[in-house]
Amino acid sequence: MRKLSRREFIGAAAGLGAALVTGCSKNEAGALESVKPHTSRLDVKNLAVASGKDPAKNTRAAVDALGGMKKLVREGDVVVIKPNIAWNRPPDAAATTNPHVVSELVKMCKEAGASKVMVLEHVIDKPAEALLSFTGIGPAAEAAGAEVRAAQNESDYRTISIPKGKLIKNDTCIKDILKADVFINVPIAKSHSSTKLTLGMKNLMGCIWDRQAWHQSESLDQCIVDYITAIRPDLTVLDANKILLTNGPKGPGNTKNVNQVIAGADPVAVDAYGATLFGLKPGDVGFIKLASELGVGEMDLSKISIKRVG
Amino acid sequence: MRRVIIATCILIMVCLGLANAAATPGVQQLLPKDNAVKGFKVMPGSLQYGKGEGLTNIYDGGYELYTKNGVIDAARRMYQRKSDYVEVTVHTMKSDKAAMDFLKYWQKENKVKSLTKSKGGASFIVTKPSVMAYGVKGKYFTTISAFYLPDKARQDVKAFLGVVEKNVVRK
Repeated sequence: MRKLSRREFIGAAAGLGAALVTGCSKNEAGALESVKPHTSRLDVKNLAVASGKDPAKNTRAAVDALGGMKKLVREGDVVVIKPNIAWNRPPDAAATTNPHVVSELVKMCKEAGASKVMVLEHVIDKPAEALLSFTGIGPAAEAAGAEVRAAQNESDYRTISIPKGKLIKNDTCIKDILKADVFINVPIAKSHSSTKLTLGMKNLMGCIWDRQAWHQSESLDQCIVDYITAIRPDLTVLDANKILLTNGPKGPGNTKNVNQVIAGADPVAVDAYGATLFGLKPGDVGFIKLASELGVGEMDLSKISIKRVG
Repeated sequence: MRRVIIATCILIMVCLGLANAAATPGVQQLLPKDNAVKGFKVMPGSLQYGKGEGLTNIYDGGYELYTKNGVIDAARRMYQRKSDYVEVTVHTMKSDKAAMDFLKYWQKENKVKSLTKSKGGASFIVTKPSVMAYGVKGKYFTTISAFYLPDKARQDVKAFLGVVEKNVVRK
């Protein structure tokens, strides 16, 4: 019998409790699952900023500055890495996560003893499988030892409850993320026509089945924040090696070489730092402000210990 | 009797063909076919279509910009020639004026001084940050992106735009 992951165990226990008290509703994606957000093994008060021209070195340096991948990933853990592979854009367009950032993380997870590393995304453009290759992420992550997959079928998702959500009380999540011992979110920093920017929290939109529902809701920003109260990554690694300044999220647009990778366990702090790269204050970005207000994390960077390396 | 059966079969096939064509959104029929630009083949499985809020299928977070500016629906397809990729998106706008206004919006965004005018339309091509053609013919607004050497890509996006314009005229 397969060992239950920490998230599965907590989710199952919470789900059983909730079912006993309230009963569970079902929908097309299956039984409603209660998910207790991960509590990262990393210190949420720390943020690492690694600078340099090599995206892979920046990635390793940033994670090492937080204490190293071994602090997060244990022997035998199953890890899911969620980059941005939404668009059919080549790596230098800065619309998708830099492949070297993703492959370095895969290597680090493997070195830390992960039994399996999966790189997953709900791809927007078609054909999804070709995109994995076109963005460079598929071949790079596979070469590093990951299983790379586009979650393009509704059966890849499970319905979860979002008890702390203000606007959304349930949604979907890629099943493998729910089963994983460790979940690493790897967004790219870029402009976004609806939310000003897309950073870590917004990147989680690629974990859900029905994006359209969020766009049609009264507040996309609130949906983003609601979701992270249920699906919280253990680590966010923000790719800011090259950022997209205009015409995001897909571009093509003007880009800027920032040559940085930002890593942290607090998704709000990572995004708050990310906002400053665009000349914005964290509070200027709707979902960062709302997340801070909801107590998801810290947007006041003066309260965060920022370790600069490289 | 045999002739009647054959004629009936042909009639059924014609009806089925017409029904299929009618079911295909008009904008989708404007997308170039295999080898419409020499050497480029349709990438299987790359067709996307979106209408109204369904434009999220194509633009996700960017879709509001398109609906606000009068896009009714859009179809997109990818084309491949060895390692060269081209993406063609044709949009039906609510009017000819909306199409032209949207082209001018992108002209301003790209800081392009002048448009290349044609009968019932206009276009421009940019090479930075990557090669992209923007064009209007009647109520159809088209964008074409290519991601390889600019000189070669520029010629190709121009050729693709020409094919879409011809398809609009034929329609």
